[in-house]
Amino acid sequence: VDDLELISRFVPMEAPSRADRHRAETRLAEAITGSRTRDRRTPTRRRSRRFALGGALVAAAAAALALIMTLSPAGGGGVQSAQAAVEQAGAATAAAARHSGTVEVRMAHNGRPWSAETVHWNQGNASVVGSGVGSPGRLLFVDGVLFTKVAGSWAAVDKGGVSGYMRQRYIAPALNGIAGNTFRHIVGGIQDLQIRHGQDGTTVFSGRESARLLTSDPRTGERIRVLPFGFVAHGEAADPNALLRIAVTVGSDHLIQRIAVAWGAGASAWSYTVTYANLGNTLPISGPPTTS
Amino acid sequence: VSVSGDHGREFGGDAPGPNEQPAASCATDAQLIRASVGDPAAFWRIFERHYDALFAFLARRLGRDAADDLATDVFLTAFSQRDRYDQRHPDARPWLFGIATNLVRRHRRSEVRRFRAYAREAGRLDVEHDEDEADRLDSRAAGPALAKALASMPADQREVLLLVAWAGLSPDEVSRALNIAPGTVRSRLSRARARARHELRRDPYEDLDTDGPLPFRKEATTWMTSN
Repeated sequence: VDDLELISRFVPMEAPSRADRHRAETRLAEAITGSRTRDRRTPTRRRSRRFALGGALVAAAAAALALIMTLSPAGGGGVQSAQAAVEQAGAATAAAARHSGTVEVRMAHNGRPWSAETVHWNQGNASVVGSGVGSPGRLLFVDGVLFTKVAGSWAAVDKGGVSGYMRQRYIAPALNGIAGNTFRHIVGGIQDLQIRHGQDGTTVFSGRESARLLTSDPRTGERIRVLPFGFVAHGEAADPNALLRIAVTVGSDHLIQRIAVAWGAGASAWSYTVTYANLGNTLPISGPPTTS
Repeated sequence: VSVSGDHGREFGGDAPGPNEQPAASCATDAQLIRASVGDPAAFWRIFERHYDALFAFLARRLGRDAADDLATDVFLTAFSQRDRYDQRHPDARPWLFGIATNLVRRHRRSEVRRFRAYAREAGRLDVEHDEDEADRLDSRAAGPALAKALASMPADQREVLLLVAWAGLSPDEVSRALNIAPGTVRSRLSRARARARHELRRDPYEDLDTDGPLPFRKEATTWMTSN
């Protein structure tokens, strides 16, 4: 046994306890949320917490869609009316989603499911069900406590100050990610706008958009970009010259139903779809029946 | 309880094989740190990736109580300096362990006292349960000598040695962590290992404090004479 190997193990390794980790998370969360607060200091009026959780995403999505229409090169009165229609849908959707709603985010590769997350929210509580790559699994955020399933049993993850951050991390991204800057990057440059009215009363606004460069891989220089929910795209989605296909579906009730982004073909085909449901009608979120 | 992170899932690029899941890998630390400049929450993933390793490293050097605070201080410092991170380096471990090493320097005396205590009490140290018995005994026997070597060697040599042996950094990574030349790292490492080997060749108990707890000395002597 050589000296380095002996040194490497003569003092036993110690893992942090749950309490250690909790204290660390709390302190770091304070720093991060403090930073967020500073970063987000704006002259706009303060939004309510509940609105931030539920309605903000749709409002911002509407803003993004307005941006789509504004930037569309198609121009003309058709675009103006389309913009007005989408703005109206966005406002209505925001109002409907203010207190409760459901959003499902799915990714597929070559026609096969790759990752999925469904978020239900009602007032300040939320539920996340995830599957596929990078999924957080099953999460519940009820009355300020975040729960997850561990070995088949529910367990409280964190309480107090940390839970606010955990909510930001796991639940708000499912909502805000759709509406945030990243999504605006996705939809902000749409071209070749087309409007299609379905027999079921839906209206689909669709077009193409050049993938935009957000950042690059420091190792390879490869162009990549960060999409909602922390995805990092490679290949075609990161190629500024590639065109992403985007479609926004507005229902007969004038609420946004679906936003879809797709790129690639065949074995390189990817899709990213966000579907809203039960806006204003999602049932209250209850805590887990038992916890370990 | 830990929850897997959601930052950094990657997708796109080459198509997977017929029986493979689509390629998915983690974003590099550099990517996450860069993202965290605009979106501070992205830094959480850095914490999740490296907290355990930093805690373990600091606990071995200064004990659990100190590690509790210092491990967090590492990440708070890193978070506050994230906009200065050198994006050429995808792996943030050297950067984080460098910050940790700077923090440990403020506790140098405490660390030396700790190693001296180890030298006295090494006979009772537990080692990992899944090691072979022979290796376990090697570690037990070597403990006092190594602790003595670590306590007595210059701090700059100890830093390099422990970044290699306990943090698992390569010499080049240590160079980056400490912002010193690779050649300096190698020479310090070489001297530190020479000192450790020198202590290992000596009877580790011959010059221990005779006022130390007798059972430890008896236990060690028993082992040495029976082998």
